[in-house]
Amino acid sequence: MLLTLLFVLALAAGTNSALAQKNFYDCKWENISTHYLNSSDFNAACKLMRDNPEILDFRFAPYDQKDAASLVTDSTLQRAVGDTKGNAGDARKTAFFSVCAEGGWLIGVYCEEPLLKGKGEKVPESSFEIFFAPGTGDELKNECYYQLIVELPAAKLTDYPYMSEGKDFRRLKDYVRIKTSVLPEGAWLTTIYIPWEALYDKIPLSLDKNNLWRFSIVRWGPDGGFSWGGKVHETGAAGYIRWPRPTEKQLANIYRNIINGAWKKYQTEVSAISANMSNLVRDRSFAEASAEAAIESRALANQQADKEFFDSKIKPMLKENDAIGEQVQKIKTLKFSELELLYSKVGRLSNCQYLISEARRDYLLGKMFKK
Amino acid sequence: MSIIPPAPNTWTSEKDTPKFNYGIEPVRDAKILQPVEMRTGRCQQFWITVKVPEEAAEGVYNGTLKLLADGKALGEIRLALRVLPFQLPSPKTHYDLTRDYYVVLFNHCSLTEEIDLTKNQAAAEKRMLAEFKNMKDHNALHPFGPCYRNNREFFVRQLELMKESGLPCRPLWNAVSSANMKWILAPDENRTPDLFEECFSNFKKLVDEAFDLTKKTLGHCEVYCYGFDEATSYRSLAVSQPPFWQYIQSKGGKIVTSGWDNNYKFVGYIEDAHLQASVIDQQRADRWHAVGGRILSYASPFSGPENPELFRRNKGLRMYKANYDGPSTYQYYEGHHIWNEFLKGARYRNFNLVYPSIDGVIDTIAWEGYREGIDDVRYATLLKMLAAEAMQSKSLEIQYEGKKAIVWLELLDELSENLDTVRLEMIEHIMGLRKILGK
Repeated sequence: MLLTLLFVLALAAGTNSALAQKNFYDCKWENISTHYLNSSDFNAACKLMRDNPEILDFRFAPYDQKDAASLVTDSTLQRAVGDTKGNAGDARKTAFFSVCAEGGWLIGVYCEEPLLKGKGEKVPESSFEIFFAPGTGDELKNECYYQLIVELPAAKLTDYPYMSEGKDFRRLKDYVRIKTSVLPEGAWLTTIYIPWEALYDKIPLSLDKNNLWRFSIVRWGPDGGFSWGGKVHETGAAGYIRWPRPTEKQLANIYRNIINGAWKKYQTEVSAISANMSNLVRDRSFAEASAEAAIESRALANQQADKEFFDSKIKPMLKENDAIGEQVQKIKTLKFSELELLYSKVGRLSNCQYLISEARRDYLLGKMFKK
Repeated sequence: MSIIPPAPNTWTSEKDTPKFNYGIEPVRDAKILQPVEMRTGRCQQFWITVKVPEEAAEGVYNGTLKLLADGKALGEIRLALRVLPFQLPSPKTHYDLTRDYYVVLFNHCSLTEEIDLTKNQAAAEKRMLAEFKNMKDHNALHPFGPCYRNNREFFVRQLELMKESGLPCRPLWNAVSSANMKWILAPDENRTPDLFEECFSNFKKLVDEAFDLTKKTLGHCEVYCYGFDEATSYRSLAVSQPPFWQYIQSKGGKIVTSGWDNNYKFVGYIEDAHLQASVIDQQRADRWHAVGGRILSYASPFSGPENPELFRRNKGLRMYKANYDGPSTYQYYEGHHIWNEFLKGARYRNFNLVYPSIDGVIDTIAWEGYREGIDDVRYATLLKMLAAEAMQSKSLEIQYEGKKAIVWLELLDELSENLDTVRLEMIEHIMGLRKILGK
């Protein structure tokens, strides 16, 4: 027993020591714009950084040159990386900050750049590579990481999904908003805003604990890379974002925003599906039905002109979702516990097309084994 | 066996790690499924591959999987299997039903290297045969090699093993290198007519021997010969290789090489099959087809991510519908430190689709996904064949059914549609077309 206890203690000490080697960043709650669409939003983010310089984390280290060179064999993409020089970090100081709000998560990357002489100049060609893994830090519930590359000066975002798009994984490219601008002191700031909507089933904000997400950011420039959290794909050495605990009111607002958005999206999709249903009833031509399927909804292409499938599988699904709609109508009056329950059903709305596709799979399987 | 990962930030170096000789070390897959420890609250997945004999009658077959805990019955899972009334054809390209969708695979399968590892030719041949059979079972019918390097006896024996395993060996991918490295690497000031003559003469001798041996062993000379790997410059592509490539083509051989868009600009007129690692892009495919060439992707992704869905989708219907001529994935497995995934800090694991063992390989779920992806293409091929036949019918009704199947395939969103649903939809169309065509 004593031996076991000693072993457990040793293991715990080892884990703590491993954690101690890693970077932590305490993400703060800020009242930034919910949508982050305009240049005024960027100016506000810039002011936030100016007024609170302590939010900037400068712990970037030069990326190992040999490792950078071997990235040509990376499994997901090919990158052109520069030659990392030993003292490059002095001239190209890099920092980032991270804040969250009711609308989403904002990451700001501050880059000093000797090639820049002042305002009005263009950000030189370079890029950032960002990794983050939702979940609970190093516990079992760790999920696949997201890999994003932002190319400058165009502020072009490319995501390299480890997974195919599906009901449990949404690519971020359609959600992320990026803004970048040169600052007067020979630096630039790039902000990357990820609305919670894109991560609705992975939101890290919890009322009773500070969740951790693995996080890493690499700045690639003309003389190599600088990294805050280890190497590309090296999730075990990544740092952590430590998320704040929101108030119940703040979390409720996040839930309401997402539920309302999901309901709106669902209604658009379901109106296309219902339109198709009436087409089926009227026995519209195949050409009309499939043309509508292509335009309005990918999933319809699978169940075009199959009334039996529609009646047996889709109709009940839509009816069940109508009940969710009734709750959405009175969302302002719901207690927090009721809101949480309603929030757990967002997937039924957001993933309508994937759920139809799964229903179609089950339907066809049933048919196949009936024969 | 338990693997203990090193602490974060501590990568073992290649130099300090003794090479693991999988040809000798007693690491092998178990013959039957071994018991596993189940923990409370933990989900344990098991994958079951059912191999249906070719002569099996169509119909529904039922069976039961028994779950035992410490030898006592714990429960049962019903397993139902539907054997369909048709055989799948070999995969053809989406853009042309007469052209093969090649599943080319980079690998380290070389009989000379295997003998170095096992110190025993019989054991080496047994291992190789197991690897080739494993490739065949996973639809990877066109492994690269064997590249002829004056190793007459082993070259022929490796071809024989490939044949014995059931691989088609036609065309043969990389029968001999089409890159003369002495000439390619020579600095400009050393590139004299005499040096060229020496290089060209040696090259011709090697190519002639490789072609003769291939013809004698396989009965044909339909071969691709691999050029300078991932060359980018005008000099290395357009200046250094075409005279050598022309010689191969004059003998009826073809040129395959890897690279990027410069290949099309500089050697698109002479390269027959282009392997590219960039993102899958139909425009790029169309460009190569415009000159009668082929394009395959050796990445998207490289092997490493053990994600069966990603491999199934990308190597299958995604490349297929982007009009690629198939995947040429890098690679089956790489190197001698194969079980050490913590060797190189910057790499996303080793390049493993399988893990080599003393008597063959141990499959990964990514490799099973790969097989399913190519099966998806085989179903799509059959659907297109039947649809083409229907569209030739005199009956308008039958023509319409053929066209409906094609419309469905063209509208399909291969990037995100549920692949199991897609497979079942294809079966629906195939069964429907077979019925109206009286098959």
